[in-house]
Amino acid sequence: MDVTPDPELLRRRAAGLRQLADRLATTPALSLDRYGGPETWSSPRADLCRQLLGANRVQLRHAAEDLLTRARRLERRADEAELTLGVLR
Amino acid sequence: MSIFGYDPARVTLLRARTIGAIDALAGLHSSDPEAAHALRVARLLRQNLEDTWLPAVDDIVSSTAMCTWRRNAGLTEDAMVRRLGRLVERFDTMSGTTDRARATSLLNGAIDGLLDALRGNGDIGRAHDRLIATALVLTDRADRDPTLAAWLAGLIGADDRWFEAIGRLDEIVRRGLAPDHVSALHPATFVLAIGGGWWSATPERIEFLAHWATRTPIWAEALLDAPWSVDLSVVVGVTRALVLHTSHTSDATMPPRVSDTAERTDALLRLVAGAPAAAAMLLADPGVLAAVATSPRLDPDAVEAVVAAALGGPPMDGSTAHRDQLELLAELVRLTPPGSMAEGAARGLARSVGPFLDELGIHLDTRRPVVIPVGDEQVVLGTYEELAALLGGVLDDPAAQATLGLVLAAHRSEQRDAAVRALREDPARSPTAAVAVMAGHLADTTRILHLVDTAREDRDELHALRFAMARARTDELLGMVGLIPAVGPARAVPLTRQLTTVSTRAVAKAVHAAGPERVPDVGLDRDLAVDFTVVALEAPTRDPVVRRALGLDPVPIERWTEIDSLLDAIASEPDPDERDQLHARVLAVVAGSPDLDAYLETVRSIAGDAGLGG
Repeated sequence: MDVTPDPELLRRRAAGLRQLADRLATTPALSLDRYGGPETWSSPRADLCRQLLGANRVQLRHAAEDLLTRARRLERRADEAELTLGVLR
Repeated sequence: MSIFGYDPARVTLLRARTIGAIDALAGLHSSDPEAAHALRVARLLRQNLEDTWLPAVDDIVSSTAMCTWRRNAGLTEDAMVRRLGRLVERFDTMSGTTDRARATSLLNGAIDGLLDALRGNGDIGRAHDRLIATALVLTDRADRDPTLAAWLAGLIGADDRWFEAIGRLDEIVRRGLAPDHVSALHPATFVLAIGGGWWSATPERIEFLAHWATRTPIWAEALLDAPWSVDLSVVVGVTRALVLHTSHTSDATMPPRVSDTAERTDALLRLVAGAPAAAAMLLADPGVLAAVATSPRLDPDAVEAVVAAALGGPPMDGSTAHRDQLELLAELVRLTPPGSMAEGAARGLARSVGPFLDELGIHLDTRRPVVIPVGDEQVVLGTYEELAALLGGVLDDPAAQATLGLVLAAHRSEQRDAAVRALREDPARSPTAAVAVMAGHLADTTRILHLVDTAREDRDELHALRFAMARARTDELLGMVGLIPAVGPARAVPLTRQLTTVSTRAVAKAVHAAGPERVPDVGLDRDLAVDFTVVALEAPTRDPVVRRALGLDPVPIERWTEIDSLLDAIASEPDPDERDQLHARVLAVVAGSPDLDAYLETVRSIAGDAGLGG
């Protein structure tokens, strides 16, 4: 038997994902480059560290965007579930 | 030469912010399975900050190079105020800074006073304070008057009395016979600060300082404390003398006064490793290179760092630096008899060999010496057998072997990417030519693997290499060593180049954490065959342009979808038997399409495991 998911649960999960996305998007690591530029330290090793951090930051931003997409998907499923439940009632 | 620069206040702030950033990332949690990917990315970033970024910042912070010797020159407060006041008055009565006779008399009085006190004719604490106060005033004046600074450097830089006195003072301090506030480090750093670039002007001057550095550890200690006060060539000269001394290949007749010279030598090697140009300068000395390559008396981690920096450091000035690096590699081949390679050298070489693999793959030849052209010149690396023997030395060390596995896997991916770029840039070439491009690039890595095979005929001894090669395709392993190869700006630096900065210790730890301690013995050929199929099929499976270029358009999309999911499954499958089964399924799908079958067969016959002689 198919079970219609609980819309409230889906919305709560979506909210959790949005909250995590928000924390990722504002995590202090994303602003480290403001403190670790060439005016602070410059050497081949520092350059490499900055490059790696840059790569990590891009990946983290993508992850935050991905979380928002997943949250939207859950919310859509919640809408659909609510509609289904409304019909059943 | 100015390669490095640090702002102490900003670095301190950066460190605090980094720790805050790590803590914030550690606080991210979610039990939702949909958050797993995001949390993994956050964990990778945290690991990168912990293992790469923070240690780099810490290395600067822990070096007191950021503090000038003047901030804490070892004077008691009262003594400083009294003496400074008197000296400033005396200096102010001079006719400007041109009164060199007065300055000479002050310095001579101070150093002779210290020597007398050390001989038992006076109070050591007071003599030390007098010397430091004089030094403070003179340094202050020299800061504002370059002519005076140059004159002072000449006066002190080659005066045996200063080196004799400071060496003796160091001995007395180490024995606990000097007043608490007295330290030989302060006068020693004063001498270095004053001498500065003066020593770098001639090899004889560097030799003078290096000679004293082999007699007492205080000079190495002072250099480590304030390395930026002298030119890099001076640091290199002193390190050279200490390496030769420590490895007992030097003709130095004076034994070190204290037993910890070797410890200072290792620390200086690490310092030099921080500047690739300095590391290259150091290892350009054949005596040092021979010591570093074979001496068991030097710290393996320090040797690894300096070899990796010299061979794998980013080229500072284009092709000249690259030629120097190739010549260094050739010297290493020449100076390392089979079976004699020190573990640090093996590890350093494993880390830094990546950027050479492109040229090595093209020019490897079993019949004649391997010659690499650089511009209008050429560098003879050695015979095939000599290169195999050098690689054999690398394979003797498990951490070096695992790192080499990772480097080879990275190189193979880079070769595939290079082939894809070539195909995308010229999509008009014939499918036959396109297949030849793909096969030609992949064949370069196969030639290197053949060299590995020659270096170690017993393939049972290549577990670490095989396992690292197989696991290198997973982001987890690369993430654990602080590298993320496939995202954004990181592409600008090839993975083989990035790996030159990762310690073999970190690689060995990651490889160990990523799988079983002992890899199931499935044979090198079997492992490589699976990997090869994956590499050869990945590009056409995931890139329609490449597919078209290779003439694989007629293959139905369903077949590509099936291959894609099987390649994914192989990448995440740790069990070799399961991988084999998945591989067999891939081959079955390939066999169902004549075009695809012909492509894989052609690439394999040119560049696949057939190239290993298997």
